[in-house]
Amino acid sequence: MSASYSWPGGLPQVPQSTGYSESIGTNVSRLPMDSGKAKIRFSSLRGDKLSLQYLMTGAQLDIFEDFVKNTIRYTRRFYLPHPRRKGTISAPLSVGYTNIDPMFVNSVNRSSGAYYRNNSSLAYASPNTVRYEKGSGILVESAATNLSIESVTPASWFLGAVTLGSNIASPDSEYPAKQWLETATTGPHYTTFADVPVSANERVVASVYVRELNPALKRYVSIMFPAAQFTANKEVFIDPATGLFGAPAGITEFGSEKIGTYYRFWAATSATVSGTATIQIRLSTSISSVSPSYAGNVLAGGIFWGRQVEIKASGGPTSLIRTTTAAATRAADSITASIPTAAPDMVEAVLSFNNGVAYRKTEVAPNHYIVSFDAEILPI
Amino acid sequence: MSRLTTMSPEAIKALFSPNSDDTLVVLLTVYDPVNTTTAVVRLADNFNKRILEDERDVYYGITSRGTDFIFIPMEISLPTEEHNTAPRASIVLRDVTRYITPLIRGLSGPPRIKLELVLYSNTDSVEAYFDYFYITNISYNNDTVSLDLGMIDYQTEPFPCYTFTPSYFPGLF
Repeated sequence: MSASYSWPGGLPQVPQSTGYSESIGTNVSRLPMDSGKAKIRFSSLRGDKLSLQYLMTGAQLDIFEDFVKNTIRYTRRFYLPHPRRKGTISAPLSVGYTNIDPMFVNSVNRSSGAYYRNNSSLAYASPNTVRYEKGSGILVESAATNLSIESVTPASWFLGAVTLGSNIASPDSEYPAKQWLETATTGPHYTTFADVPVSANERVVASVYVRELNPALKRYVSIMFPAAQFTANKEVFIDPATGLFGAPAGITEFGSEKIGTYYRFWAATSATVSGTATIQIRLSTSISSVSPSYAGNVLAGGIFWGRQVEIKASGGPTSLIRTTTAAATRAADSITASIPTAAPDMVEAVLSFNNGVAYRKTEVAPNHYIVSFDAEILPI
Repeated sequence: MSRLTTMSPEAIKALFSPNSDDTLVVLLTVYDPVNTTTAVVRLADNFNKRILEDERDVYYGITSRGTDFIFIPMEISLPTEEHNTAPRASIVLRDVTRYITPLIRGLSGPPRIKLELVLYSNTDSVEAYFDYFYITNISYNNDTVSLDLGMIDYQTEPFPCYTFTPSYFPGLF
């Protein structure tokens, strides 16, 4: 049987922060020693004690006094909305970010590893572990497939009038990025997202991590969807130093996300013809030229890492998916967590008499009163 | 034999550990003075659950070996071990719920008492017990009930049991 009475609904449900305090503990037996610290032994359970102040109107004060005097008769236990604790429900987290502490997670199920942001870099979460990003929360994503092979090993990417330079620390720090240096020839200087199969009317999202290589020899980077599957060459440029975009050509959906010294640059458009598309990552001396062709400089280029091509109905890319010699799928996250509910936790409490006084009331404004009292939550 | 030798390692640890999260709980069973095997009240000096509750009150207590012991705060002096007298003990109950007084008023003889010690974390295992005490004196006021406990002291009984008195040996007189 639970308590028969509840804090009246017509009263304020939340106390004032002024004058609110909690005293939490348990009864212990303390035995001083001749030297050293005292022995402490658990003695018995003790209820938490609350000091509460409510701002009430005159009508609410009447309700409160009737409740204390005639309903609980000063002594009976009643349900009190806890000022601090909220109730929780265990529920699956929806796709996106949920800003709760990982300690509230009850179960995690994701059969594959996955990347997530860890401050200014990327971290790789093992299967069945939570991806928690400070400031954003717990990341939940649907399953997704990266059609671009060798996604985190740029040394294996296609060389289009470029040569590979040194390894550069990538956002991941496990798989390095690469310097891409132009060859001293005239023509397009580029690499690709490898060959990916696309179908007509599929929306294709391509993304790559880019970073400026040589500020003295400014280069811009573009994602270019080929005319064969996309009607015309569709292209948008980004300045890898600032993240600013040039005027896009045939592309309306694009964006970037800064991670440390890198930008994750993405663009999306729909295929019009089925086939195997070779989407390009191009270097350019201009931020707005389409299909740039120019005389390369062996000291100029860019730094690339982490390419990804997804078929996705809307939005930007999902978290980077590692691939090797074939497309790979990141399994969906299935996470359940104890989510605070809007309703406060109702606790069984009794009034604590302070020198025989059950509560005090002070008029602070016409028809407005501060009612203060102490309560003790039943230990069990 | 030392009492410690009969106690479990967990109980000894609870007693001697510098920081212990466990403690010993006293279970007090009072038997009917007439039918001495029938318990009339079972009390404990600690609680870990609700035994009964109604609109007004919550009765806390402990369940040990399937039997409920109602929590009432009490002070217990455990039995002494002296050479010349039978062991004695005393209990002071904080009878703020008026649970004991009606029972005391209905007594028709000295009730038998059994004291048991169990661990808070394992209430089904008795660590020590003191049986066959009898309530030899009761006093109470509006706050407390004080019980003096004693055992039958056979050393003070006459031996042999018969004496040469007119009732037993009328021919001598």
